[in-house]
Amino acid sequence: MEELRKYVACILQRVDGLLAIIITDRDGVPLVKVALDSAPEMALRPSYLSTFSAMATDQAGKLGVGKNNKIISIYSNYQVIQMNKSPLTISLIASKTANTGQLVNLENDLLVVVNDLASSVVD
Amino acid sequence: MDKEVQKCVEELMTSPGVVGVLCADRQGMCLTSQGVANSNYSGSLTSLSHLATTLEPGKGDPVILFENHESQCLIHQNMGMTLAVYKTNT
Repeated sequence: MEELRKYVACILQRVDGLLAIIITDRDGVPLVKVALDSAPEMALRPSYLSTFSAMATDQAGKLGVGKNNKIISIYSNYQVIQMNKSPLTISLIASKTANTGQLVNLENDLLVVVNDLASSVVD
Repeated sequence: MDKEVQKCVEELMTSPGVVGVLCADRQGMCLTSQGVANSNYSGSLTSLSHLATTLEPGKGDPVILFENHESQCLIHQNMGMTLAVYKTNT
């Protein structure tokens, strides 16, 4: 688990403006959480993180354009990218000016971690 | 606007040697990609062009050229839009 956390911490340093990477289960309980001190504390709370997997992604899936894969929310100071990797969720919290394209592309690197964790969650 | 951008990209694709074209916005989100251009790399291309502008501030938008034995990749940022053109050397 510590190795997974170290790997995620390395990924965190790869993109300028990326403040936190959190992998949670459906209830928003963090399994891996790596965050800089400057990350907004509100966005790290399970109550915020669980809204994506518990509500948003399910509702977005009902729009008739297929299953929802990710939601990008851009606020006045921050941006949050949440990826649906059922049964887990990846949340990336970054500053508004961070390169969204690069953040989205981190999905491939984080998939290794998520697959490892997902198999142990199912077990 | 979509159609105009698409038309420009299609015209570029018909130019000799061009095998791929990618357009991205200032946030690194891919607007369009054709041919060998992979939309996954729109973020990295935008980031590279942004880094290049910091090398010589105030001297306009630079053109970045990556070259190997077989192909070239030209990247240019203008008005916040990044354009990458992939060409073969032949």
